[in-house]
Amino acid sequence: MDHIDSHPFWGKKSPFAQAAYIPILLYTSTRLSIAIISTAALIWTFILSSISILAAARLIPSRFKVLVHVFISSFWTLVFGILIFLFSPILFLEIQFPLALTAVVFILSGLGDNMDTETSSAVMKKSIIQSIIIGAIILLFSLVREPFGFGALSLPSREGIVEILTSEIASDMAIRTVALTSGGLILLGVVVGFYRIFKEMFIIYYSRRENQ
Amino acid sequence: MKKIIQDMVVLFVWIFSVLLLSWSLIWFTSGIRTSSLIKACNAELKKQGSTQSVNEESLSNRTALPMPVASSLGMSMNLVFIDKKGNIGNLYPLSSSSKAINSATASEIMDFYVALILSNPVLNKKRNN
Repeated sequence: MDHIDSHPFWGKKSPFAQAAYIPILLYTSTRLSIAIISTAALIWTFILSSISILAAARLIPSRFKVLVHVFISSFWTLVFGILIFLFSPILFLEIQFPLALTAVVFILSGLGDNMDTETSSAVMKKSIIQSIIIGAIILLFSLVREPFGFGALSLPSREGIVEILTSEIASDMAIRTVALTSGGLILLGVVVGFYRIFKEMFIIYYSRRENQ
Repeated sequence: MKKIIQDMVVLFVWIFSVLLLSWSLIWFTSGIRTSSLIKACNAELKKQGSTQSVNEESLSNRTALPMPVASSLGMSMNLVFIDKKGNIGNLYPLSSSSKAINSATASEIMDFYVALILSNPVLNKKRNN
């Protein structure tokens, strides 16, 4: 059962298993453009924070390691924010709130907890997989919420958020609630419901296999 | 006990180093970030057909700042310049809807945002230096 509990998608630290992921999931999946930038921010922060923590592992006191990890991940989020500002100040203004949550997600993922007992390659692999999983969930949610909620799809650009595939008919037919927080919560509720059913099936399957 | 104190000293060194590094990064990129803001603003002015443009050289003793204004008409992104006396001149557009939203927004709301920007203590200190 341990391999399910520690699995990046089906495990205890999965974005669908922790309520603390809800704010970032709801905020970043409103628009595809914000989801793309947030995914890039997550991958950037996860990888660079993991590298920094691994490199400085001996200098971090184990008693306060979470606190030091908070500062390290926040620093890398700041660097990403500055890079985005240089690319497009308007885009930065649009995404500064989800960007601030990136460091929080890194701490929530629990990646820093076992870094001293695992090999560097295992930590890096976990870090990349976990950030991609969270990013993929955010992207999938935004691909449902934006077209159904706004009747359009947006991409990040130098001018900020640029809408593509817009049409008046799609905009008129859009169900605005899906793009709102309430709609996001309804969607999340449905997905988490199915997630739990599938997880239960996996647990039964694995426990039967272990008993054989 | 000795170990706790040792760990706390290391923790404070960490916090100080990361904050110093972050502050240096913000400080050294200040000029590039301002140029980036002005470039975005000039591109928007050009797109709107305006002959006016913002000149980086005329920035002396003034701080460039992005100023989002939220009203019932939507969100407009603007660029403002603040001088040492706390005067805000024109609002320059950063987004395509800035002009339309700003001109239709009640003056009380615009005044509120200007007051909000001027009440920022960090900015106040920077202006008075």
